[in-house]
Amino acid sequence: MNELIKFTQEREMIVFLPRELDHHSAASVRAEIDSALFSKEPKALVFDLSGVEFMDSSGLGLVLGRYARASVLGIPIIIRNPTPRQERLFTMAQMHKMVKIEKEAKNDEKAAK
Amino acid sequence: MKKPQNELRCTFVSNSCNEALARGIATSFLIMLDPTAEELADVRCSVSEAVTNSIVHAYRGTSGEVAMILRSYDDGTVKITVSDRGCGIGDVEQARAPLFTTAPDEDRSGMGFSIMESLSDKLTVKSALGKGTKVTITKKLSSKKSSPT
Ligand SMILES: Nc1ncnc2c1ncn2[C@@H]1O[C@H](COP(=O)(O)OP(=O)(O)OP(=O)(O)O)[C@@H](O)[C@H]1O
Ligand SMILES: [Mg+2]
Repeated sequence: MNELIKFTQEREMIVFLPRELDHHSAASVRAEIDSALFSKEPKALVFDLSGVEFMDSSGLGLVLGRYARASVLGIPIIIRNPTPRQERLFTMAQMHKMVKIEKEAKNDEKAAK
Repeated sequence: MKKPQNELRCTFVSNSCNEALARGIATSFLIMLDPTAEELADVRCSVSEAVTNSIVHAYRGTSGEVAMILRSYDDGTVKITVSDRGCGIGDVEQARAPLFTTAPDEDRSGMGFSIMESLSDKLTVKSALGKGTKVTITKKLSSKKSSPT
């Protein structure tokens, strides 16, 4: 299994969210994300959705809760590699106004799954 | 509506690990009806929202039973009912409004009902304070092949 959190040289904190992102799994990753966020104060907090096959509103809530904390520290949030379906959920919740939504090339690989 | 052509009833305790279980059951029921990938994803997400609401809100601080009934009909319609005997909702119209949540400090976005509405063809919510809540999700599958093979 992938590690949950990785730091890049540019001091980006990348969170690889779980395959099934629901209320149950969100609760199990929240504390670790928050403690890394506060202790490392990264330049940006990136949620990488490449490995996420299922997401409901609990995924939105997880990001919203981190947004509230990160914005106090002046840390921007990036949502990387959402599927079109996942991106629609963020847009429905008006969250595209708070976070940056970004796609990498390996998106194709994900769509082919 | 006519008699269902297939029906599955189940009850589980309000543990959060059963959110994935409920999605799995809904998937198994639907697969027999040959849904498109999009239809299946719509139903899995809607079921997850309804069941999570029962676990998070209805039985807040306690635990109880969540019942799920899945029915399919000859014309390809699927109806899924998720019910609990939890705290109930005082104002259903307000609860259904986008971004409305009574638990913002618990990482809720207030989008559950809006998502269920947008992913299904019809959503009905019946609730009584202190008695519980019953949510019915209706989805018409394009395949029309509603007989299990
Ligand atoms: N089964 C239920 N029992 C009691 N209250 C409920 C139930 N389902 C929903 N509610 C109430 O309706 C509100 C709106 O529900 P909705 O699913 O739209 O948003 P949420 O659950 O608060 O947030 P999200 O679903 O985005 O995580 C909830 O905050 C809660 O007060
Ligand atoms: Mg909800």
